[in-house]
Amino acid sequence: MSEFESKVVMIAGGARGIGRAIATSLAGAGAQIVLVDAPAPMQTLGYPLPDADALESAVAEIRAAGGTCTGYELDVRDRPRVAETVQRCIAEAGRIDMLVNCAGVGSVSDAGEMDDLTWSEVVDTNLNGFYNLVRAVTAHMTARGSGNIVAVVGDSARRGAAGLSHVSAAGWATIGLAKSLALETADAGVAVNVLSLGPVDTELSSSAEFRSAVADLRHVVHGQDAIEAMGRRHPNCEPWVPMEDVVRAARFLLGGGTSMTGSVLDVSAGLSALNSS
Amino acid sequence: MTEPVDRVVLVTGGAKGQGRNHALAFARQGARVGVMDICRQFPGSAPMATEEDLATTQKLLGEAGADSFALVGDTRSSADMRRFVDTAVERWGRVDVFVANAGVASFGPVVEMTDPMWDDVVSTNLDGVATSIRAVIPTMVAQRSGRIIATSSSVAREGGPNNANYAASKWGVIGFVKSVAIELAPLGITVNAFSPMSVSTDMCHNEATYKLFRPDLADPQEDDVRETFAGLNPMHVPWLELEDATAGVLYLASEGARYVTGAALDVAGGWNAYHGA
Repeated sequence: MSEFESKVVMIAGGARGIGRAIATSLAGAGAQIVLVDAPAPMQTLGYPLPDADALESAVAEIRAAGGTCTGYELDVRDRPRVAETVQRCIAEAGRIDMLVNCAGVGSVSDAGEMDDLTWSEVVDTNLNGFYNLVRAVTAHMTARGSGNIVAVVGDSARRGAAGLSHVSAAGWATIGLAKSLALETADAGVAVNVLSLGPVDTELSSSAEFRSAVADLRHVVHGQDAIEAMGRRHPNCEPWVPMEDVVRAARFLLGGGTSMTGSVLDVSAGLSALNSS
Repeated sequence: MTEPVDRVVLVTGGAKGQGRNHALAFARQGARVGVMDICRQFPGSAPMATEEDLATTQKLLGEAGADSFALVGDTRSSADMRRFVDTAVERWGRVDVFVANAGVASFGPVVEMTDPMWDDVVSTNLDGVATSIRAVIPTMVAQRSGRIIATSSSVAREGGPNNANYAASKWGVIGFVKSVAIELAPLGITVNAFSPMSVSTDMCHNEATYKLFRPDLADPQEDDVRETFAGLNPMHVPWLELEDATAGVLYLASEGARYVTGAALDVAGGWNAYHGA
């Protein structure tokens, strides 16, 4: 029997991209998946966010493959609604065993030219959204004496990244929050870890601006040039971290207990070799 | 290397504590100094400054021989921060050093955290620092010179149990600083974080902080917490004196630190020696 058999796994940002891939994998391993997604539209991202139809089709696809899945429309920035949705999920599914936060957004702007909304749409989603989720779910997990929380962040959470100061700040802060929460909950059997990823080929990383920024360029290059620049940036010479490697790492983190908590697992095409530890 | 005597220095959170001490030290170097403070108490946060405190800072700046101004303002407001920078530019034509120091603290485990405990601390210590720095960058870019220093913390290198709001915010400051450092490095503008352990200010010496360190006592006093604080670092010092903190900030603003950027300077009695990164 799989370690995920019958586990209730809430995946925020699960309608597409990384969240959806993790959901599909865990559903195939017998988990009961709860997808939350379809935030209010944002103005500064330059790409569309998944809507209710996208969420519905993700749920339908997992069910069609024989998996168990429900979906809730939720913007993780809406703290009361997050609390309400978590309670509703606990009432309907009986519990939440695991929480995976993939609800992250990105944009590119130098700090000196950044407007307030560009800052706040990223920080409110990536940092405060994760806080809203853990604030809502942690007491349930500690009361049950078990639980596993994984926050997914981009590699700019591990270093400075020009053009991405808001994404980087939110990512670093997410790690600080995860480590703090890990210290508060380890004795109650709850593990909290961070999965830090190099670029993954999703909607978030579809713009030439974003690709150029993660390639550490200070000018924008397009098309194949951007992808080749990303490959040159990475010690393993690959532009992308393959989704299957992301899923494998997420499953590793989710499958463990508190022996591994407060950790950051870097799956970053070799960029972690540049980390100070 | 000698310090220029007529630098323009701006300090947020300058009404008391570290901010006031930094401002006075720059004044004694011959700088012209502007200070800003919110001069209002957040519910549940460690004691914050009053307008009387701000007036006292300005009086002390005058006694130190400095041309100065003091404004009431909120670092989370781009309008307030533009007003702060514009006031300096109108008076003195430039901003040479910007110390994003304003910060607050409140304590509790995530599962019991009230909305203001998270929102006030994170919005001030992270969003406020970023908003402040975003406001001053255009002036420094036009000058092609400047020093930006953001107050972080030793807690920004580990998890902080009962302190997740503060730890997250201070981790975020480091990510932001490193990113902006890369953006501004080609112009010779340095951007650094200053990471002190506890400093002997109101944020350290108050009932809530004492109770965090000595939950076993009903009414802990300074002598009761000294050992617990000291146990955090191998030099076994309970807290920095103000001059220890200010020495770190003066260094980052000094001529000798012209090639120091993207750093997080630990002044922490060796607490940082326990950190992996």
